[in-house]
Amino acid sequence: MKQAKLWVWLLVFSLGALVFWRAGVCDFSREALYPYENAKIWLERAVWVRVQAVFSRARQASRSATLEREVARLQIVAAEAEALGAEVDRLRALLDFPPPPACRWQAAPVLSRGGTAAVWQSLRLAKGSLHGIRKGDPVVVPEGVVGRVSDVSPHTSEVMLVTDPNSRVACEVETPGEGVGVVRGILYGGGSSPTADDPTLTLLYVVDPLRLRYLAREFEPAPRTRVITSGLGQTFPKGLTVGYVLESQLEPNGLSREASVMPAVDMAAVDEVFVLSREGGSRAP
Amino acid sequence: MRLDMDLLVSVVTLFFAALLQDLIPVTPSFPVKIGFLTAVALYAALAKPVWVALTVAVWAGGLTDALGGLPLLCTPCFLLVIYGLVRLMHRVFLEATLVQGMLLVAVAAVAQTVWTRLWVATGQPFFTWHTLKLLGYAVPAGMAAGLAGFAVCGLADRVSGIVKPVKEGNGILWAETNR
Repeated sequence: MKQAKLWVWLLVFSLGALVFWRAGVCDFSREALYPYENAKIWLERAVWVRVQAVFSRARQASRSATLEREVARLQIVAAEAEALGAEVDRLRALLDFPPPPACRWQAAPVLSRGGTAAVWQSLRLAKGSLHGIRKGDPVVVPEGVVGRVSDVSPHTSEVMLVTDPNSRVACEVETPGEGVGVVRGILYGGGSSPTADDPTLTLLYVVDPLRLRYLAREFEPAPRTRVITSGLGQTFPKGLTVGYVLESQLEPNGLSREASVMPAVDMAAVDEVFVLSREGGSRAP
Repeated sequence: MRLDMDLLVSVVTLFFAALLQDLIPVTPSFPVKIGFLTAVALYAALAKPVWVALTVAVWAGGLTDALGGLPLLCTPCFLLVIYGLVRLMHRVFLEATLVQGMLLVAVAAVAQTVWTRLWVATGQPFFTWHTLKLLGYAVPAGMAAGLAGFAVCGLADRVSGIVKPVKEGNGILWAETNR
């Protein structure tokens, strides 16, 4: 009888927590799993990588030499970028432009994909508010944009991928240059494109293509044209690669053009990402 | 104070179910999660007292929603509805065996996919080829979850002493007959 009473109280308390303490329940669940999910990453990095290294010493040596050359090349590029940065700062000062917000890239390993339900296309990262990550921060890899932070707990953060049907990113198409101007649109996550169920596309691409909508109707982008962030949405900086145009057609209302876009990043293969934290800047709610 | 073994076993099994369900990733070739949490809740519905089973259903649902970014109460409501149906069938034929567990969780996985998609409906068409494909994948995922969930939960119940070994006709435990 006493045991039954305990369970009734537990049930009432649990239901109350789910109804009145939503954010707390989400944070608590993620934080409870965090050490164990992080342990898996630690095992992969500290143990598995070393075990692999024992069996592939020669390959590691050649890779190390390649990486050294790459580091030397990047040092030159960094020096050039620094000189260019100084020049940009000087020109901005001459034109009276406000200085760009201070930013900081930080690497974060991927803890899990899709959560427990896999209804949304999301990633969970092993860094959270304690590391300075905030809701709305952009997430990228060298190949392009991955998504944006949609929720944060002290040690973890959830990322909504650009392939999620709820994702919207302000983008523009790289144009051939003179006479075209800037062609901007809004990139929608995949899911309901008219071509998404086309078996040919299903064979060629592992995810539904994204949709770049509201493009100028006169400009027909060529296949494989690069799509980059326009910087207008205040979330992503300008110029990050998002994907490549597959094809385009007029929207049903005939007022604008819509393009199918192949994401630049293979989301299933992402193990580590970079989060852009703006120091002192404001964030999307 | 005596520790309630049901509480300990429920917490441990739910924790590991949540961890596994979260860690096993979806891939383009298998785009659904294996619902270990649902399997644990259904095992509890068949093998545990009423209040324990109801609480486990709410916890399993809460974890699924909290870790899956779903609106809280979406999965607890589903599991409570399923709990009612399972208890009804339990009176007639359902038992907490491996085979029945596999089939039950497979059916529940399909129903859960439909329930969740309707609950979080984004205004996009529901009956598409993509949704049908997801429902197809939910069957083997549910069977795998049912097999693992019912096996582990049954083992945990026996190891913790919640389920006592069956006594032979003479009142001696089968395990003690060769002493």
